[in-house]
Amino acid sequence: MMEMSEKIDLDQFDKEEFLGPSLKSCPGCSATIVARFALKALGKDTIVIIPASCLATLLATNTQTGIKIPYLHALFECGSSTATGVKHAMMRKGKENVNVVTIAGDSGSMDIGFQALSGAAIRNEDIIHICYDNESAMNTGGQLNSCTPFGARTPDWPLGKRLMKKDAPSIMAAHNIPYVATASISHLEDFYMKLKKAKKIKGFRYIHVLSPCPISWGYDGRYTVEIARKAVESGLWMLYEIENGSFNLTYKPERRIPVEEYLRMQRRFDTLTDDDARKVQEIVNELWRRYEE
Amino acid sequence: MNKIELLNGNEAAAYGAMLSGAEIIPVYPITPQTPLIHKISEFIAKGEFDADLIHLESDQSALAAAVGASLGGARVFTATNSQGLLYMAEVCYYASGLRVPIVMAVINRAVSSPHSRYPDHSDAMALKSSHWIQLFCETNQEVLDTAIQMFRICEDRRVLLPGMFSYESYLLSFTWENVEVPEQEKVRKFVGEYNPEHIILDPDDPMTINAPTTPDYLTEFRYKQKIAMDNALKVIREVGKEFQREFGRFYGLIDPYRVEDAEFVIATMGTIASTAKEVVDEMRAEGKKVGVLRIRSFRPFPREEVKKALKSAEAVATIDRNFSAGSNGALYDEMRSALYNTGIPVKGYIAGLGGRNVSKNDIREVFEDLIQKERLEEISWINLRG
Amino acid sequence: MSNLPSVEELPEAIIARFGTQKAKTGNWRTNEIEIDQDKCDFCMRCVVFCPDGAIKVSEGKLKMDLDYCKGCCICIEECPKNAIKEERKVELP
Repeated sequence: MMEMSEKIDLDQFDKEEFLGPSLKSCPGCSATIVARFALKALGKDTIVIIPASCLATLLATNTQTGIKIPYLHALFECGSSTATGVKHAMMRKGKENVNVVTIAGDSGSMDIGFQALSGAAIRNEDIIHICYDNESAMNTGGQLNSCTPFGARTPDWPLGKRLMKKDAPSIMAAHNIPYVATASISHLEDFYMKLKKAKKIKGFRYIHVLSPCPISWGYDGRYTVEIARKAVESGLWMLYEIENGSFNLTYKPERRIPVEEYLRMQRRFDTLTDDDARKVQEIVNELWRRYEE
Repeated sequence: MNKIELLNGNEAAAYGAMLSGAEIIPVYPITPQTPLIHKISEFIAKGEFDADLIHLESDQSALAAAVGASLGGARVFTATNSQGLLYMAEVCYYASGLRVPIVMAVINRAVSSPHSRYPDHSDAMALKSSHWIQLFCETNQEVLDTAIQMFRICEDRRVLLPGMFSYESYLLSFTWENVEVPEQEKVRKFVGEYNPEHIILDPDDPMTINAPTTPDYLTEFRYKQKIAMDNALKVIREVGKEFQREFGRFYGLIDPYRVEDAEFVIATMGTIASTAKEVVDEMRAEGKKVGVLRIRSFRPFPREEVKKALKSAEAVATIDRNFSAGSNGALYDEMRSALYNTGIPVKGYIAGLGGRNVSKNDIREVFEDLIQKERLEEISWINLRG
Repeated sequence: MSNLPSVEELPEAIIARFGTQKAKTGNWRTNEIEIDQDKCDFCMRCVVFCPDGAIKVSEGKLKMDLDYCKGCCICIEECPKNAIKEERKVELP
């Protein structure tokens, strides 16, 4: 168990709730935490576009919905392009102040959604893109994708992935957009601060949130926040922002815990050998060595 | 005063979009659609057209952006063809289901493979079940006029469906004709404003759009698209008549040419009809009772009008500039279905694929087949090297 | 089927208005969750981390909305005071 004396000041978060109850998320799902705080930070003058994903599915069914602000369920690969059209319509209709935000999964951002995302980013569309990363194609049952990390096994890759996870935030930063940030659902104040900051910036803004999934990752849903925290505390998931090209670490673990403490909590790493785990540790060490330089 | 300009089909379509007051135009370039985009950019650069031209990174994204813009309440125009249209296919179904009245020019071009930049209707026909209105033009004047009419038809409250208007690559897209360009003000008045009430993305009127459905809902929404398409039959006629009152030219669901007393009729779409009309004049002079029925509206397909127009026909030939292996040309199937139980035989021809020329002589041979009752109820390929 | 809207009653496209989704997802729960008010020191960690927004501040107390609590137990893991208890009703595999 982590040291958790930390109290959370509720006053720092806007009071209004934009997600109702009755969401059809699995117990322990972190996608709703991402959406809840994203919408709190952005406020009611927001339109949210969500391409095919767990989040898109769990918010509404038929003519019933659990989200208060305008929400469009977009095609899987069309989140950012649809949002582009919506934002341009807002500008045309004198509603420039409406925040247009896409919340997409890792497939909808980095795989099938990447062409549209990259296009919108390089055009510097006035859109916020939040990628909630559960490191697999989870709405279809947790298949392997480009954000699945090294060593993780998936139902369609039972021996464990031998390739690396795509470095999504760096790719987005290479588009020279005004704001790129990473976040974790375990560090809500940090995530919230980044959303608030992004809201004030004009142009394309990208926030990549680590969003653990108990089903895909293989752990009891009660540990969702703890696992996300261990990803950060081990240094595996670095919390930073890149504002107009300048890098800023927003959270530094006081003493990085061994990465195995994070990996071994999850059944998806059952096939990970000790050598593989050491390799992951080296990758993390190298990441921080580069940062220290 | 209306002015006469020498325009190719793409420029005529660009005029149509400008005069109708399209607000947002998301595009991705594809041959032969590009000159249309160049013309629109030119209008905008000269300050003649207050539109937002968005340069997307793919055809698919262009149509997705069009859907987003329309949901945001804007009047939206775009254009594509062949590979681009097929890359948009998924979004086509999405757009018609959301009932966004996007107007799209489709500059008919064959679909690879073999790779071809030349005209045929296989691109639009691949999307015939996507619940879009599909009109096919014969001249550049009709391209301009249809673009204008399309906004009225699609945005009509009884319809609210997206629409494609098609014209063949090269044959119209790159061919210059004298085109009467109507006055801006008159067109704006004719088209009116687009004020969506049925679906909107607006923080002042929040709604969730396109929630996943259980088997309890999709059937009813699909049926509503059927009703809309049925209504479109009426609206296309109405808009055609009103357009005629304002601008003096009429286009309906079908374009019958010397069909009233014709015994032998060719049914076709697009520019093949122009050639066929000339042959009809020649053969009429020879005393032969022939006619051409050009189908302008393929979706909705005007079965009743077709049946009525062909009441004196002894035999009908269809010339399809498209083909579906394992089946027939798309027009053949529709015509057979429309003429079911009338006793009129329908003979199908496949012609003009990938830009293959369809000559007056080819058309004359089709009429001769009909007159001599040659192998009726069969499908023949015109100009196929055996 | 009879309670469902007819073709005419439905709008053109599939839209939904907020407030219509009311299913009590709390009935997915296979356990009972209870907050010990004496141990709670209002750190609010359970409130912010509850994925279903089922823990609310009400009359100076934290209240669990059992209509919507799915029983994931994130609140138990995040509580530094061990003030939330779970009682399993069904043993999970």
